[in-house]
Amino acid sequence: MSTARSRHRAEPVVRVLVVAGLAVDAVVHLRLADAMQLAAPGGIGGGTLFRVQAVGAALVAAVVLVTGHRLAYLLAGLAALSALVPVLLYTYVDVPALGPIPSMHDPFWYPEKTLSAVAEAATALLALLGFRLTSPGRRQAGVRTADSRRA
Amino acid sequence: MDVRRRRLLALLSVAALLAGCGGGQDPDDPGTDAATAAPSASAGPSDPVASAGPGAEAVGITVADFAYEVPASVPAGAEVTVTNEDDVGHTVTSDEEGVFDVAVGPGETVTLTAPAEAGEYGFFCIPHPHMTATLVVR
Repeated sequence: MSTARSRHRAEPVVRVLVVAGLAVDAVVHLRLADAMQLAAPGGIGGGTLFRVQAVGAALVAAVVLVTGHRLAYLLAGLAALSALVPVLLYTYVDVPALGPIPSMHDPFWYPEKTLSAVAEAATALLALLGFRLTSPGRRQAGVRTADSRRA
Repeated sequence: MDVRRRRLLALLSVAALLAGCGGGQDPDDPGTDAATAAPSASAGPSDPVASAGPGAEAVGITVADFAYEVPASVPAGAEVTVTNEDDVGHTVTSDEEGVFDVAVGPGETVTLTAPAEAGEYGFFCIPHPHMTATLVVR
């Protein structure tokens, strides 16, 4: 009973944290977009990719904030991973240009990049937690618990 | 038949000659001459250095493995080539805003004009702020 209640209380907290993480991701990508265009001018441009990531993260954050839906948490996890995986890959591997994706190798860590990567990793984990908290089975268990309390 | 073949061969030869003459001869193309290019214009990677004028000393900055290789010093007002050997773009941006700032794409060579006054000018790369060096102008 208390477990179901704590899960019910935890979801809004997780939701806010996921939204905050995605917001950090969006802002950092937007701030670094101009510099990334200089570093990766080929193909569709690193700046364009960073802006797409920023807009995507912001949209998913809005969906999570408004709905708190299970699918929204899934999208949040994917949005976070779509930034975290490339930042780690391009830091440690000199990936060549792949079709329209330019080479974006950058072996350095600096505060904004580190902040973004930490936020993305935390968001991915929290999104997974939110996904589990909003699973249909858990929600039904929560409803049953509430019904039994009323009875 | 032989006459037709000869005419065809002659036509093809003329076409090939015209095509060969047309390439890279556009006087409006800023990327064909490093010495006359604007500071941010691209020059061919085969151009080794640019010069400040007749008899001027050739100087160049090379970017490789996310580090600058800078000559010991450059003459005031010299045209300095910047050659990027990395697969990503870099900039040569003065610490003091507005002194010089050029972007150089992967595998490209561009030129910048050294400051007119002697001194030491620190610079960095905008997308990779850890990359720093100093241009000594004499």
